[in-house]
Amino acid sequence: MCLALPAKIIAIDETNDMATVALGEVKKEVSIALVEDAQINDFVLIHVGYALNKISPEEAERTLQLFAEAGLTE
Amino acid sequence: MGIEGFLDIQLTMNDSIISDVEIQSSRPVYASQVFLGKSVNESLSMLPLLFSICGVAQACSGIRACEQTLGRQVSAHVEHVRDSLVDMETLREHLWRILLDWPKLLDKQLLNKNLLTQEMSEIIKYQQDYRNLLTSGSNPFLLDQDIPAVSAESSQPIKQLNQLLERSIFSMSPAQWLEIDSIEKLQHWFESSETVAAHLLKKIQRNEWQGLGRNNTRGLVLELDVLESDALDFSKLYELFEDNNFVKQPQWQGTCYETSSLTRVDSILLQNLHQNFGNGLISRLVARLTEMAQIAQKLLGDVKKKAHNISQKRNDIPGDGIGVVSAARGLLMHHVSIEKNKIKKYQILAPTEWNFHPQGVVTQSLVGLQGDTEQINSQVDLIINAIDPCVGYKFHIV
Repeated sequence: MCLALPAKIIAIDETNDMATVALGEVKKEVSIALVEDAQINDFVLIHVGYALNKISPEEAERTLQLFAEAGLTE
Repeated sequence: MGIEGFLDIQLTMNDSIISDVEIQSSRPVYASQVFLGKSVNESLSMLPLLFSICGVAQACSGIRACEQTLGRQVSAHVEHVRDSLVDMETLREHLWRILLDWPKLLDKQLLNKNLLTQEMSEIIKYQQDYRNLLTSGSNPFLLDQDIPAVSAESSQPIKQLNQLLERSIFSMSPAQWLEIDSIEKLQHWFESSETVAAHLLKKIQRNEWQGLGRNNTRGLVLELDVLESDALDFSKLYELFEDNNFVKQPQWQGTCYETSSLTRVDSILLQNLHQNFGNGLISRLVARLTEMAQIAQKLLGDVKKKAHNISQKRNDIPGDGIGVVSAARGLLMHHVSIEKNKIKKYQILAPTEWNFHPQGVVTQSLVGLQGDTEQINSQVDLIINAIDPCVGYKFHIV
């Protein structure tokens, strides 16, 4: 039962394909090597250190709401 | 960002041998509580959103549990479409993890990021194309859905995926690779090939790690009609689900079991490997390669198989059902109770919890490893990745 988290890209380091992503107040470094044309403010699904793919802000919001309901983001 | 949870593994080393393993899990095994009080279809539509990595298998296990509970009959065609989509997801997951993880497990860095991005995007596209062709936009993982007849064009993305497998993994067609039936032929294959899979097997042979992690943990048996003590008995399963700790640290008949590609895939080659190296490292890696090639053949229609749904409703108490799916990492079970079309209880038991049970197959595989710290580090990563490549973990040696 592996969760993939929706997170927003807030900074990109193009020299090593890494990005800083934010989920609420929490920030994390992930690889964006697998996501084509990742931009700041894009939402991506992250899992075990990688951004897997982009998702729409609406889908990210719905998923985060579900995580909150499940008590996972408290 | 600890929402996804992880496994904290402590290895105790004495005289260069791992003598003890402790696993602590912070995985969110009770996340399905979110469905309580919601309608059946609302919950089913949320499942793939919450568990997007194996979203198809989760959705399939969920709908099967709900259908059992509600006594709904489903056509063989719908079950066939569901199984095909789960198989496709398993193939994607295996392929992704091999392309992502195996280069890192090699001494030489073989990771070509541009190629990797292109290949992973291709795989997602083939999966989406396949689903669209199979379902024409319908959702086979909701109640009472009609799925149109499968288009003849549905084999096209599978053909493309077979070509990708040939290019990136097997250096030959998956069908040809499945003809390898002896250890000698396997050795000849990986010594004469340059794919990441061949390179990893070369490394394992070079280090004589073929039997690394070998232990006696048994595999969960899926078939209901198998007269073995290991075979799942649903009436007992329902009793076990009454204890909420079952989904966190599952045991069957007081014993830990493994559920993975290794415990469900069979071939003459795997039987030969098992005879020589038990459930050691090489058997695990070859089981995953074999499963990929077999699924690729099955989805092409070269291997005819009936849909495989062994889910069952509870006989003694109405409104209870269990849905079972063979997901990428192993057996996935959903247990659901429904009252007046609302979810009263929802439990999910993922394969990771069987495999990473404190006394489970990962622990048994790691105890007894020997070498210097660098060798142990490399061996631990190889074994964990071979059993379950999806889970986040950290280990430390004391």
